[in-house]
Amino acid sequence: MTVEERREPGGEGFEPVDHTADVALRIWAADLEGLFRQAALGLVSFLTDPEQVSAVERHELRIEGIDLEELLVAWLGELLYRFETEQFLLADCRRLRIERQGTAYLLEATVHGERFDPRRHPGGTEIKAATYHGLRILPGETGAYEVTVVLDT
Amino acid sequence: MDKGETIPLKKVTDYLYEIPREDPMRVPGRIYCSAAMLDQVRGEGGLAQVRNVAHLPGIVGYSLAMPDIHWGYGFPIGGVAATDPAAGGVVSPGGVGYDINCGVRALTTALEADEVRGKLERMVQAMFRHIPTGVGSAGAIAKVSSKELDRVMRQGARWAVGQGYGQAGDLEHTEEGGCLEGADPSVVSERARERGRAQLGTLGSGNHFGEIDVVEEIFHEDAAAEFGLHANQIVVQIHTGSRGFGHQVCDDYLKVMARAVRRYHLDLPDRQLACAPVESEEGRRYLGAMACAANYAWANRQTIMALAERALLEALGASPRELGLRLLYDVCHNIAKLEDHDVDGEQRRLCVHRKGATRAYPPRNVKNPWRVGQPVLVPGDMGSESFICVGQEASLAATFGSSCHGAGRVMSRRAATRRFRGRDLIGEMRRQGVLVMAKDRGTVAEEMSEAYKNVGDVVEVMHQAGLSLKVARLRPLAVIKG
Repeated sequence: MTVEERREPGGEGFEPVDHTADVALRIWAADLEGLFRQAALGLVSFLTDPEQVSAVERHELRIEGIDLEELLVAWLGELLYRFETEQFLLADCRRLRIERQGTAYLLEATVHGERFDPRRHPGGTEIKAATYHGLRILPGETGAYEVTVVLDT
Repeated sequence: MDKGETIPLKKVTDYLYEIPREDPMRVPGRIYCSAAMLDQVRGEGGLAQVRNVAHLPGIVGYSLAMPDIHWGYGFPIGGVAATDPAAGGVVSPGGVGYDINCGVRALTTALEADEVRGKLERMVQAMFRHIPTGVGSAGAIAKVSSKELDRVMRQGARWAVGQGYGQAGDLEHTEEGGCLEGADPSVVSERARERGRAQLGTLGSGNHFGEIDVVEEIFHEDAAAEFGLHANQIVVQIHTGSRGFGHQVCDDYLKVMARAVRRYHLDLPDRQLACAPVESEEGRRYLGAMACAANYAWANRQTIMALAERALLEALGASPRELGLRLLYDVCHNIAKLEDHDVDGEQRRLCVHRKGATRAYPPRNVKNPWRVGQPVLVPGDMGSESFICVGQEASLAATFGSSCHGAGRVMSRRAATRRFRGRDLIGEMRRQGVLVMAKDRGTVAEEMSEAYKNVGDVVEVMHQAGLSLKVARLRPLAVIKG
């Protein structure tokens, strides 16, 4: 699969970036919720052609992390888990909320998508996991968020 | 990020370089490579990771890297590090990697190159049909129950043999007999189980493959004879690991270790090095879960071997005797093991991490049934040659009995995809004499040979350094990929 850059109105998007051993995604958005949504869309773009994925089923997800970095790794890990065990491919998240709870974070999302169907969904790159390598989620200079996450393939 | 261009390197021999110890490193770093490889090694981050690993509590001797060193997570790929549990030594999931017990098995056959001419297409198509490959591949064998999965975790390759995949004799030709001690299914998460249940007997994607090769050159007659190898012989290689099961175990325990680092006040230069003392609750749990994943991987490769045999029998219309498929050896190259090693004249039980490195035991070792030393399998990248080597005495003192594991990437997947855009790669490979069957053409571009170091250069460094000697060179004829 060749993953293409994707920019959405509202100043959020993702692009694949070069990395010798594996693949990496640079993601940017005006807020944390947008950042996590783009990360999910970026992940799916490695697994298959996201244009071919329709929103036919819905799941409620709830993820926790001791910091934002762990929350992002756990969020992508959840989507990989759903893909491998239920063949669920995400088309979009229509509701995504991140809440600070003491020093930890909670993410709640409603995700839409469908089952992987090899006849309609081209197979892409198998992703083993999202890694912590160099992972820092920080607000950029303009207050927007940006992060690069390395995916182990 | 300091990628390593400025890290001081001292030449020890023509094939060994040292990063001198500076506080707070606990030991020096040592990298096996040739002068010609040095610029490339400096260029891409592996050296900084060798230095980072030298900070691990309880590390003994050196933070080591083999010549196929390239950038990894926390540990470099090609990294070897031993820690002493009795001295607060740690175990780090980052020193094993996500694909726990990723490894290779090589199978010899009674077939000669001449006998398969004109039949390769059928052979590789049958392998592609029998062995599921690619993203989310599943369904090679019936999804196992959770209870059955417990047995896979405890028994490893022996479980697969019990199910009729291969023979009991195969276990003697598998590192650790295909079963690592200390597996504890009670510390494996429900998620890892769920990911593992449907994926036994599947290859996956990325750099994993199944391959039909021909032995093109013999370098070491004595070892070749003992391994049952001769020129023009057809050999089969399988390269895969513990699939989603192992990935989930690693993911789960990185989380556990992140908390352990806080709890034990460990000061680490990279979060991906998260670890815990071997002699701690967290350390013991990780090793128990890791052994389960290692055993899953051995069951997986044992199953795939039997699927490959079925495929070849069907394609050739041959009897098992005519095909003569036998397991030469199975090695793991992503693992942490408790092993006894000599440290300053004293036997100590160490936790040896090999991340993209292969055990290379010499003849006399108790864990090695071979008269000539343990077979070291070094697969090349897609379409290029592979090597079978043999472990040497020198590896014990120098690298805790370790050698290289493969070629090591030099080009990112994206760069490879750009470089090869618009080219008929499968056609090109066919003209070079390699049939490729892949689920996704993108994988073929990412895995093109030019994206890797020359595996011949890598094994040559190990050969010259005397850690493992070259026995045979294999040329690929047909490959199945994800």
